[in-house]
Amino acid sequence: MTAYKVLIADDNSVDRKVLSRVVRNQGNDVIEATNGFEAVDIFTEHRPDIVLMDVMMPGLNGKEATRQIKSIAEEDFIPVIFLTSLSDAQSLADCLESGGDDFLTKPYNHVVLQAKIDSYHRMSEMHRTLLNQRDEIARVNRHMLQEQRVAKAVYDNVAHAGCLTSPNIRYELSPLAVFNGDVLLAARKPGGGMHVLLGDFTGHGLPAAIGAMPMADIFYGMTAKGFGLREVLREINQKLKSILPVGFFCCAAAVDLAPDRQAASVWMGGVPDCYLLRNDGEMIETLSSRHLPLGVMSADKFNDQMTEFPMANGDRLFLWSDGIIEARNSDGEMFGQERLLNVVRDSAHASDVYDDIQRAVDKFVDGSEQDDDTTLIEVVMADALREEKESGVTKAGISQGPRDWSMEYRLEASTLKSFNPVPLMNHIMMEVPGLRAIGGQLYTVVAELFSNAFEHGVLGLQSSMKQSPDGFMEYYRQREKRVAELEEGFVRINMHHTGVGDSGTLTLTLEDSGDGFDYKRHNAGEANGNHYSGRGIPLIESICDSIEYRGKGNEVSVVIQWPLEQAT
Amino acid sequence: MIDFESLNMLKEIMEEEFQPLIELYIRDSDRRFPDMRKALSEGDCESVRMTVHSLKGASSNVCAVDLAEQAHTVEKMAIDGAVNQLGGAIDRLEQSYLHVREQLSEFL
Repeated sequence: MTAYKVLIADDNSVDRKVLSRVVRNQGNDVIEATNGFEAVDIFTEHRPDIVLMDVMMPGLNGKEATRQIKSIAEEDFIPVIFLTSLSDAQSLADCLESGGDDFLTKPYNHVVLQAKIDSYHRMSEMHRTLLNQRDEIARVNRHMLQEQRVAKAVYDNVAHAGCLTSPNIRYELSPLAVFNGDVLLAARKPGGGMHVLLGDFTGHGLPAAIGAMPMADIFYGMTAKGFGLREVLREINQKLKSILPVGFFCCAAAVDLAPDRQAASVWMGGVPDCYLLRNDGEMIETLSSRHLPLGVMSADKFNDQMTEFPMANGDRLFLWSDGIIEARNSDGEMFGQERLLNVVRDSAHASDVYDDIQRAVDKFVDGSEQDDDTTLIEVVMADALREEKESGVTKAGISQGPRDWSMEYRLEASTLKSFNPVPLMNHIMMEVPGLRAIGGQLYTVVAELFSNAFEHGVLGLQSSMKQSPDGFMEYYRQREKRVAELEEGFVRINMHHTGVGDSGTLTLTLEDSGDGFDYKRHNAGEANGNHYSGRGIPLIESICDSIEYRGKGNEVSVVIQWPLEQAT
Repeated sequence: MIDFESLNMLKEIMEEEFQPLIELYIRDSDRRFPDMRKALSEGDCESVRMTVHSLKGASSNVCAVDLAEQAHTVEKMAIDGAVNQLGGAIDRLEQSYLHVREQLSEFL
């Protein structure tokens, strides 16, 4: 048995000696004090485990000495047992009220005495364990917060805010939201416009943060390389499916904002209804999730179908995670979709909605602990987006990278059916630092040339069909049909680049298996309703030094010299 | 006057400290009577009460049960401030104590 250190404070020396002997006989160490002052001093010096304190002592009485001892002990639990010959209920109650933990009435019963000492010793041990565990938890928590800060710094480098600071975006995201599972990403597309992704991972903490890292990496990497949002989503889905444990996934809303088409394509999986507000009207369009969250379906079952909404300048898209809807007030009541819809409906103007939502949620929650994060983003369609494109070439970077090279990429019918080579082509061109500055334009050029070669050449579709709304629909119906039936054909892409460091020449040549067209008529300026009605041609003409059609019109070669003479 | 059975148990418990304890009891108690009388002459009943309270506790510890009981009666008088009766009561208490002291000395 461990010896407990017992302080006995009693001015009556005979009483003290007898009690001391009894307690020592039971295997404890005893320190004696003959009055209250001495008891406090001895306590400070020796820190006994338990105190047996006579109530009536001259000078400092037992109750006052106990108060002082308890105050010195601070958060340590030092049981004080009062020794008293008083036996009326009030006197005994007074002992406890003055801060004592228990009392023993004289004459002492030795068995009860030892049992009490043992019992209080167990309690002290328990209290010590509790304090140690509390300190341990506090330490672990500090450590965790420190780790989170480091992890957050790493995460911020991977999932930088992208273009969330654009003037057409307003958003709210807790600084440590990544550990609450919310992710907000926005990136400009090389060809103008932007991709926006709002993600809400199941669970909190590390699992959510871990999933967010590759998601951001893929999102920014692929968007910069010119991949479409569908491909980006497909890739993210596949990645999350392979890295997240079963039952973990990411609810997401993804928007491809296309100012040139004045439209937004939206993909929503597992997120609450979002709203599209017209700048000029009262109408609220509700956008609902049509898909399962990211990371649930295997690659072959994943549905990347997007829904397109026309969006004029000033039209606003509001997206949120379930945090807002599940925000609780002090009564535990949730904010709910209906309240949210009412706020949107009651706003004076579309431009007030964002502030109104924030105000309403803040007022509703009113200081009560948030369960989830209230992630909210407003995306406004703006014409300016068309011009603001990602650039980032540095003077130092220009002399780096591949200089003189060429490559040929030939796609056969089976590949053309389902594969879009444009992002890959763009990716290769972007290796040349001097071309990055015009990445957006280049993407458009390659996309347009490829689209012409494939749709008009290989598939033999007439662009003149697209001139009426009905024809437009028919065009795409035909396109789908012909792609499905496609058995023969090819597109050959040749890229050739020469450079001298701060300037270079890129030649793109595309040949297709189609019948070609009478380009001489076009060159004479007579043509209308042929290949050239594609939207990309004016842009192609504006940045290409030359456009040359060859053969029967199934081969086109453009030359681009960089840096461009005029800033576009 | 003395519960010798309990006293024997105390002797067993205290072992070599038994004799010093009894001697300490006698030394302490001898002093208490002049203390009490002095306090009484000054009309300080509270002081009388404290002293007789201690005597009561100590006597009870050395198994002088009757003496302890008698001290308890005196303690109550002191609490009540019965100054007129206290002088005689203290004298009677001392008589009893002297008897206990004799018995304890013999026991040693």
